[in-house]
Amino acid sequence: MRRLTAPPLAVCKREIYSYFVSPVAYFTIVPYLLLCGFFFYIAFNIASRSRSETAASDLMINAIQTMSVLLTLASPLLTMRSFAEERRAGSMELLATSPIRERDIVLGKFFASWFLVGAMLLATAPYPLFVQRYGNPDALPILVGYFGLALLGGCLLSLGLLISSLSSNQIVAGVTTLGAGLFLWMIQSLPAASGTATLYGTVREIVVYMSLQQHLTGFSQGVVALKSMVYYLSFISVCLYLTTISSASFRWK
Amino acid sequence: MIEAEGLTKRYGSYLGIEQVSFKIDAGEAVGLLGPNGAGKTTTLRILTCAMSATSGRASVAGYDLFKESMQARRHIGYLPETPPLYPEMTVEAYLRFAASIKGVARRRIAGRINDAVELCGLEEMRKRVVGHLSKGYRQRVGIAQALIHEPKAVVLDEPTSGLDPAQIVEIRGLIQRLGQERTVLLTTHILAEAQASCGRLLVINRGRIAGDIRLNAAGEAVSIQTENGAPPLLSEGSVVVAARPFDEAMEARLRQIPGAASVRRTSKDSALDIQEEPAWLIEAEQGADIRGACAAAVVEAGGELLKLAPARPSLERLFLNLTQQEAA
Repeated sequence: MRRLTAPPLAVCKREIYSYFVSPVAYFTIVPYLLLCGFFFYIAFNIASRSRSETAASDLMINAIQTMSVLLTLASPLLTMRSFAEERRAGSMELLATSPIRERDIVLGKFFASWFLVGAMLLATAPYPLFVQRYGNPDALPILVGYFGLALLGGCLLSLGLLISSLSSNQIVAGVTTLGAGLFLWMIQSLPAASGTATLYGTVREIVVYMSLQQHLTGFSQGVVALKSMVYYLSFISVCLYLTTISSASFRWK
Repeated sequence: MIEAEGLTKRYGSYLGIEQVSFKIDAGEAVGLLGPNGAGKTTTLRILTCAMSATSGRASVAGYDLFKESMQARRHIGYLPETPPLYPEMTVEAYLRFAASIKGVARRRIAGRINDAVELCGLEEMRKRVVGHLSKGYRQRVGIAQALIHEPKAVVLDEPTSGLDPAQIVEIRGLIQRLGQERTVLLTTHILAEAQASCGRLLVINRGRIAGDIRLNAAGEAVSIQTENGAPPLLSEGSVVVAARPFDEAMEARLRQIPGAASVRRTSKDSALDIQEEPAWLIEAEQGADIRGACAAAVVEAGGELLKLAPARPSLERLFLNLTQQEAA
């Protein structure tokens, strides 16, 4: 018996290989790190003049929020090709005719892109370490915040995979993913902007609950809320499940 | 090895293939031949699980394609019309990936890559990036991918299309080597291609199997089955005779030739290369050589002999006949 993990692992390894031999990985990670560095530079300068005792902690809370927005911009680059490009180039035929389940293909691709986001987040580690060196931010919220960022990244990637699986054009997939990601980021400010007059209690709560970034606030303050965990994990599961169906449906067309 | 029964595929209201049935035995090399848009690729994609059928059944190596898809896929190697390559990978990395998703055991992967690389003549390209290879080499990488898991059946879609003549010869040679060990099913719209590599031709036209032709080693038709029943294959030594006058008396004279089994009037038979002019098709008894007797008979009856030709339907004519008849 072959190990059960073998097929998704093979897909995952190939995806990671392709990320690094094609320029995708570098074109995503490098600008991400530059923008994060730029943000830290400005925020650190402001915080260094502050007399507040929580300046360093506040800096990190803001930093994690900013990183989440940058993640929203970067993640479509990682997922837009995954199905769309394979379908266009015909390499999907190899996966589709191999003894490997649709689910394994989707999981392999998902974990590969998640691995890249993990690497990206890990590469930003010097920034908080730098803050740690000159200030005294709480360590726990930073760690929990990064955990939240990773989950948020998972959501954006699973959404990107779903959109890529619906298209055969990587540009369309990328732009749509970006739009969807930004929408999920912005809806948290929708109730505030429109006021209670138009959005009542439950509706308002649902809208806010749907926002990806809104859930990150808790994480960045060091709180792991059950409802946020549930939201992120179910978001990922639903997107991946729909991707599996969407990918399989191409056989029926 | 490969069996299809009543395969039908509809794309919305457009009919891709209709009631396609055939049976390919282990070790056969079969060409699926037909004009563009006849349903060749649709058939292959169904047989390789790339696509589902609207109705019908099919199996490979005894596994039902729709119910035991995973087992069936282990026994099929498939080269789509566009080789399913990742241009950024090296040949070796690509083949390693193909082997691992096709379920080759880890300890056997290195050996399988060596075998496939050797068979497909890719030794010098192992470390090269696929996207930098010429079209012929890419095609070979595609074939290597289809063989990496030692499938019992290999299915190739237009394996030589778009290649230059030298590359075509190489790929044909490769396909012939494959045919010695495995069941091969390939599509082509070029008759010579099929004749060179296959022992049997399935002619597909407008989504239906129009004919099933078996060839001998020389690439000549030995038996023909068509959708509308089997037309008799002419016996060896049969001739076509055109003579003036084309009348009853002449026909009666021809019937008396010793060794002539039957005399039929025929005209415009494209399979026999008979154009406008009416002629007699005279079938010879087994082993009889009636050519001389035919000429003599016409002359003795005071007629003019216009044409005396062996009546062997050329494969090309037969193919055109099968594909045009249907279209008419």
